[in-house]
Order: sequence, then structure tokens, then C-alpha cells
Amino acid sequence: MITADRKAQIARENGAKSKGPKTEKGKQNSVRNAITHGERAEALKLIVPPHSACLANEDRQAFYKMFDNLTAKYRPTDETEQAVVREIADFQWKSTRNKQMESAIFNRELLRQAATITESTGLEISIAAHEALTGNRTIAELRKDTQICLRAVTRLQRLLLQLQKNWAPADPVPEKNEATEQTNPNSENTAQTYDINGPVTPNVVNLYRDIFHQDGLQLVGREPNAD
Amino acid sequence: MPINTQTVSEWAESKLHFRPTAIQRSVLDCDTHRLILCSSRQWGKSAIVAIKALHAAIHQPGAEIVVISRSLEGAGLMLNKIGELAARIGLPRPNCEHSLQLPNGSKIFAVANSEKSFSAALVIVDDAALVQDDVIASATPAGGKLWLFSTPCGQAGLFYNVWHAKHLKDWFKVKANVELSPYASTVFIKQQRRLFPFNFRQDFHCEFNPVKGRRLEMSKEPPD
Repeated sequence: MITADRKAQIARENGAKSKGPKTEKGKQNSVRNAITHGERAEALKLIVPPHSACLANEDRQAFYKMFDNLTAKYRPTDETEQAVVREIADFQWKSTRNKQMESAIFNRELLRQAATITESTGLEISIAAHEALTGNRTIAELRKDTQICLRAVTRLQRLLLQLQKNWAPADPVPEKNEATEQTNPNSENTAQTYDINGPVTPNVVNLYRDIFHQDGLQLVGREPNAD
Repeated sequence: MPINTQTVSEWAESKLHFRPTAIQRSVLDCDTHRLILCSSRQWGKSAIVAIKALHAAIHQPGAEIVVISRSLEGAGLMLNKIGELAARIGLPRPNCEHSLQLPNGSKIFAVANSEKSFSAALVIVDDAALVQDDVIASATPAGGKLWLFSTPCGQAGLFYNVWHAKHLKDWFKVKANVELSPYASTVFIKQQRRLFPFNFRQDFHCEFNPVKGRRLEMSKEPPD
């Protein structure tokens, strides 16, 4: 009689002989198995859910980078402030896009004028393009929208400043045993990730093991804290 | 030999003429293996560190104590402070730039954040949130006594991790925000709130702000 262990061994041996999926459905199932980060995967772009700030043809990483920079600049400390920073990022992104679109329209007109006016200087082509685009509704709308975005950014900056200045922290919770806080003995001892102040060295790993009484610690080195 | 039944706070009061508040008394008298104090600015942390270090050195002959500070200047000031307290009870002032040796053989070493020191049986860290974990780790032997004192600064590091770990039963945790500070006046608090609105909650209400440049959420993408 074949034992469960033997059965598992046979299954592993047969599995090792496999040359991968053969049917179209099987191939579709495993098509994304080897994706590590997906940043360069063209097909993956199609399955990324829609984004409130970035359009389908825009670089999301650039948006996240801008959001990171704004977070570093404004230093939100709670969800409300973070939401305001996110709004600022949205409006700045939109305003940049509007300016790029305006430039694209102007460039397109320049090329069109350059093709028709062959005996003119660059300046004359620019003037002709300007004259041709005077009264262009799209450009007018884009400029108007850009102004709205910039005003919104200013308003949000003011709001953020007010939030950070006026909203005092919640009243301190009365401490147990005359302002001493004891640890909760009923909490579970679960493995988790710890952000380290500075590099992760063998000494740090040993100290964390000693203090947190855990073996499977995940330590992530960070830039040292500073004032 | 008479048994010394004086607590640290009583000793500080009688010998050093330091009058602690109730919460400072609880920190001074705590002699657990692991102690963490999360306090506001202007609470008197450094004074408490200096008193505890000096008391341990006097009452445990031959003890080696390491006091880690955030910077070289901080280490120097800390040693000065300990030296001043020692002088009040007739002990010699520090004969070396970084250490103080007492007649009973005890030594107190003041170490800066950047220095890797030797390990000692008692390690006291002033401004622990600003000291790199590696520096604390290199000074603390396995199972060694470790006392962390700091005002919050950023959501990373040993100080932050220990303070937020609810399952650590062997740590005595003390929180002291600005309302419990004996030195901060109402005018001073109002002024600080007006001048430094961004850091006020962290500096005076013991809240840990995210580190500059790091998002609140550690997810890779911001919420849509």
C-alpha cells in the first residue's frame, strides 16, 4: 500500500517533469508569475485600476515622486493633513498637465506654420502661430483651468497651515497609576517589521532579539532620525 | 555596615537638594532592568539621567555606566552635569573629557551618538530617539540594564519601537507630557505652539510624527 509520504514524493517527481502550461487558459494563469515589480510591463498597464490624478498615458511614478516631495515639504501628521497634501498634489499635477498641453498645441501650430511659410524666420513663424491661435477655445480653457488649479493650491496651503497651527492635539489620556503606563500582558507576541534608526547590523539584530523576545524579526534600516 | 534604605529620590533630595515632582520621583525610584521615559521637552530628562547615573555609580562600587547622548556636545554637557552633582557631595570633578571615575572604583562614561563604545552593565540613553540603534546595541550586552529617556522624534528606532510594543512586559514605561513639566510655564507653552506649530505635538505632547520625507502610510502607492 502506498503511504501518504510516498504519494507526495511521486507527485513531486511528476511535477518536476512538467514543461509548463500547454493550454491557453493555463498560460494566461501563469503569465504574470515572473513579474517582480511590473514597472516595465506593458501588458500590466492595462490592468492597473484607474487613478484620480494620473491619466492612462501619464507616468504614475512621476506623480508619486511629486507626492513624496510634497509630503516631505509639508510634513502631514495625521490623515486630515495628508488628505490636504494629496489634494495639493492633484491640483499641481493637473496644472502641469495643462501647461504641457498648451505647449503641445503651440508646437503643433508652429510646425504647421513652418510648413506653409517657407521663406520666414523663426520669429515670424512664432508670430504667425500666435495669430492663428488667438481666440483658440482650448487654450483659453486650459489657461483658465490652470489659474483655478493654482488658486486651489494656494487655498489648500493656507488650510494646511491653519490645520497644523490651530488644531491642538487631543487632551492627554489620564495615565494609570499616576501617569505611569504599564504594558498590556494580554497582547499577543506576533512577529512584525521594525524600522531601525540607522543601519541594521548584527549588534542591532541581537539587541532587538533580546528586547522583543522574537526570532523572526524583520528589521528595516532607515536614515537616522534628526531634529 | 548600615543598610541603605533611602530611595533615589530621597537621596537626591537630601544630598543634591533636588526636589523632584511626583512623576520625576517615580522615574528616579524605578530600578527595573528596562525603563523607558517618553517626556516632553523642558521636563528635566537630563537632570534625571545625571542623578540616576551618579546614584548608581556611588551605590554600586566598581560599576561601569555608559551614558549615551545625541552628540559630542551633548555627551560633554552630560558629563559636566554629573560632575557638578558629584561636586555637591564632595566628590572629585571629571578628570577626563569623557569619563568620571569615583573613589569607589565606579566609572561613568559619556558617549556620543556616533561613537561605538564598549559595553557596560548599565546603559542610560539620553535623547534616545536621536541616537542610532547601532550605538545603543554596541553598548548594551545581552540582558544588560537599559534605560531609555527621550522626547519623541520620528516613527523609527529603538525608542519608538519599544514605546509602541504592547507585548513587552519587562519594560517600565513612563509618559510625561508638558502638563507634568515642572519647568514649562503657560507662556512658554503658548509661545512654542505659535512658533513651532509643526513639531509642537511631538515635542510637548509625546506624539510621534512621521519622519520628514516619509509618508504616514508605508504603502507603496498613495490612496487614490
